[in-house]
Amino acid sequence: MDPLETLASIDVPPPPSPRRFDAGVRRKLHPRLLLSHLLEFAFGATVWALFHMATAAGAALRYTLTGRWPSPPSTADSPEKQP
Amino acid sequence: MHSIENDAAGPTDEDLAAQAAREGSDGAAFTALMDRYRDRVWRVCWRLMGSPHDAEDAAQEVFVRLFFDRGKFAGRSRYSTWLHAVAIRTCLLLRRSRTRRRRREENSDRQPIEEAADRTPAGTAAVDATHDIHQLLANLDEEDRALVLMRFGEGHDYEELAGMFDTTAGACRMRISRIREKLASRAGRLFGEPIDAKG
Repeated sequence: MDPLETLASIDVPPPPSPRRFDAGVRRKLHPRLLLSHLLEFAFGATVWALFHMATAAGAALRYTLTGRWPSPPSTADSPEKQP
Repeated sequence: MHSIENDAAGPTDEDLAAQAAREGSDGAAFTALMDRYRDRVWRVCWRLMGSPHDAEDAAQEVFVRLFFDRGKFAGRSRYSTWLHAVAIRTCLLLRRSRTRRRRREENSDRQPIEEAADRTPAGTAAVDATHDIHQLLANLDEEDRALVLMRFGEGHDYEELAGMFDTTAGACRMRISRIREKLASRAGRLFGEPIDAKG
């Protein structure tokens, strides 16, 4: 007889109870889910906030060094365009 | 966890997988998939890990991975095949990391199977065949061992194996044939006569 065929005849023990098994899955899943949310926040929201604050932070730094605010962007009714 | 309302036939695995990909954590579809596949994942993990404790740990790890990868099922194969592939990969990873850890922790004095076979007493017929076949398989490459266990232990056909191991049915057949030859050369010393090496 092919010894490999004996593998099929080996009885697999019954699985643990669904309640215990699912509790184990949750125990493993929840910390990782929390970590993934934290990482998502760290690399998503924080980067987004820093990017949007970069202009203001740059202007504040420039003011600190030069004592002048950067000139505001030109608008349609700016004095340069008036006759 | 929630339950899912099924119609008479119930949603297919693929429907549930698509629903699970859209829902958040602890969703009904994922829970339903867990209920459907808990036993099958357990069987695969027990076969590959070899002990109930490791199998439970691995099976839980499989479902954690399935949860995080639930959006990655593309529907190119049956859901059950994809799930088996995830289970096999997870078990192989766990076995490799445990083997590495064990090797680090202890200077193993395990002897290769050839030496063990040489020390086997003359009455090899008395040796338990199940134990011997596991001893033989332990000396195979991890993926080859998994392939043999899925083919002969779980009875999957070559098409299913091809999906699980991300290869072709022909390649699986060829690989099994090579494994048989490899085992036959060793089994002669364990079983007293060579394994029937035909595919």
